[in-house]
Amino acid sequence: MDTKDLFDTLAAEEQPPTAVDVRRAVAAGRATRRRRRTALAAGGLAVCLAGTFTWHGLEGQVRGDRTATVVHDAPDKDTLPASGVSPLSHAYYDWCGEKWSPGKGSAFAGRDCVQWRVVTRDGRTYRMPEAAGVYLDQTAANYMNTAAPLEITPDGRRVAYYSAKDEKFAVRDLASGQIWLSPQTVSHEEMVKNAPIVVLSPDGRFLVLNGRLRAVVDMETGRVTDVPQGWQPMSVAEGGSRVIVTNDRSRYGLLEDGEVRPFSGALEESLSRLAPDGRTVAYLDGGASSTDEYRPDDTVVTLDATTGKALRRVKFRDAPKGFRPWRIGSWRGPTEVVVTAVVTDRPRWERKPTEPARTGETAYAIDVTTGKVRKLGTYTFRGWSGSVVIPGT
Amino acid sequence: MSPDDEYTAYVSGRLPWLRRVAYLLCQDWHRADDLVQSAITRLYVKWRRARAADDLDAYVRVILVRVFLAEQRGGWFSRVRVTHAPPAAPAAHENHDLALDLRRALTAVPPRQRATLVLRFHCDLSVEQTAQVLGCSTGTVKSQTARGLAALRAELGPSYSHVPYPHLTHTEER
Repeated sequence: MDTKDLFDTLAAEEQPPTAVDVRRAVAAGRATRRRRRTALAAGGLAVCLAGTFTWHGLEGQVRGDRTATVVHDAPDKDTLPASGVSPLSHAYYDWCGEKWSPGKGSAFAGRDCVQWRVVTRDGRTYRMPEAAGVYLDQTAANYMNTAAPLEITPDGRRVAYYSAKDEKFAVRDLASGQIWLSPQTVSHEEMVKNAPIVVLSPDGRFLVLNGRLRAVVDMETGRVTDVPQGWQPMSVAEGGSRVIVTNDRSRYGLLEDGEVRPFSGALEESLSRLAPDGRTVAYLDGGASSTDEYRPDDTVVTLDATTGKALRRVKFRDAPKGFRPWRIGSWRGPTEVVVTAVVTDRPRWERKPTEPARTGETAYAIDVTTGKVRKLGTYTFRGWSGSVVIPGT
Repeated sequence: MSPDDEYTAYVSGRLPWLRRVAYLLCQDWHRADDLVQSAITRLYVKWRRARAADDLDAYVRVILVRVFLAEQRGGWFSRVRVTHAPPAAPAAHENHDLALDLRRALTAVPPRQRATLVLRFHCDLSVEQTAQVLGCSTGTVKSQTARGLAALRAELGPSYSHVPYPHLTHTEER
């Protein structure tokens, strides 16, 4: 056997079904071509207009492009620096603070202000051009999918996003500036159509990719763990060895050592990330009700993810009046889980017609052993629409 | 036939070949698919130029190898599949153990040396052609080949001492 025989031996292996999609390559390739044309056009116009250039000049060229994510790479003082950025407090997008209607995103084409903006704990706000921001191409079927996903680790030191340029998910360490790209290629069209989300492990090393990708990626080594068919990954613990998964029958389970151990019974509620002990998860419950009447959540329930059994149910204590948590996320220490509630501004008729609402979320920590609720902070922006991302939620 | 039709016809026809080369580069069918997906996307962007090339296969092969090396520099290299599905790639030949050993041995060869070996011994490229694909000198190709084969030999050595590899020591003569 010579060296060629050796390679022929391997090459002779029967090929499994392929995941390569030629149509996706065509769509992604077209998007890349468009971006390049746009960049060239922008460069040409900038030279011609020398100083008097405004993005309105370009708007017409991009307006009709229903697949372009607005990304301008030219760095300025508002652009996230390449490194040396302090931990983040939160991130948001606000449609430039202007009114936006579903399906009318193209009116914002060519404007930097539709990018994600990250805010550091010391109060600095930066645009993040490398992260895909809002989609300009919602349709009637997916009009609620307004922006590419963004996730911040609980310590605010790493951020995960969709890199439109690379058509891959990315994780960036803000202090060092190091960027890791996930191996999977995901087209912009798929982002708009299927709205895949990203979730980071508490240390920002492991990235959960749901939807078609169904995998957990160790971004530092590149090790990709596929989640078994029929399950979708929801969150991953520190160290990456335990993954909370769910299926379309409202069942949760724990993926560990290649096996999914389903929790007993279905659970309709959202589940928290895994606690620092790697086994406790929590969810919010409205308590027992003998009727179908809606009851706001007033109880935090903890489960042992390794057995799926309930550990304890505790009623909220010291919660503010009208406390309506709607999202549960990561942990702040061994017994406190973070939840968020939507900020409610003054009603529209009490504000000036031109005054946008104060929009955002307030984060609270709930002690799962005592039920005590304490406020962590409020994260808002002025805008007619948009969204806030709080670290670890 | 429009350029897009030409592209689709070409890629669809050459997909098995592209996957095989990608698989030899990375020893993982899932990752091979990711590599091919990236490569054919780049091919689409450059299709106008590519279709005018003298040897389109060679053009695509360059893209594929460079995608592989670029992603390798990015740091990721392996995939764990934990489903209960049967192994993705049963060997079509009788010696399944040999295939497993070869795959493991190749994984241990550094990526650039592995790419050199694949280009030379699977794609049958000359030293000069390989240098062109990798964008390096012929001397580098020779040294990478020698080192790659040495690494391969070291991995396969004891367990396959009964399998003669006469050419492994005479690579520079090819």
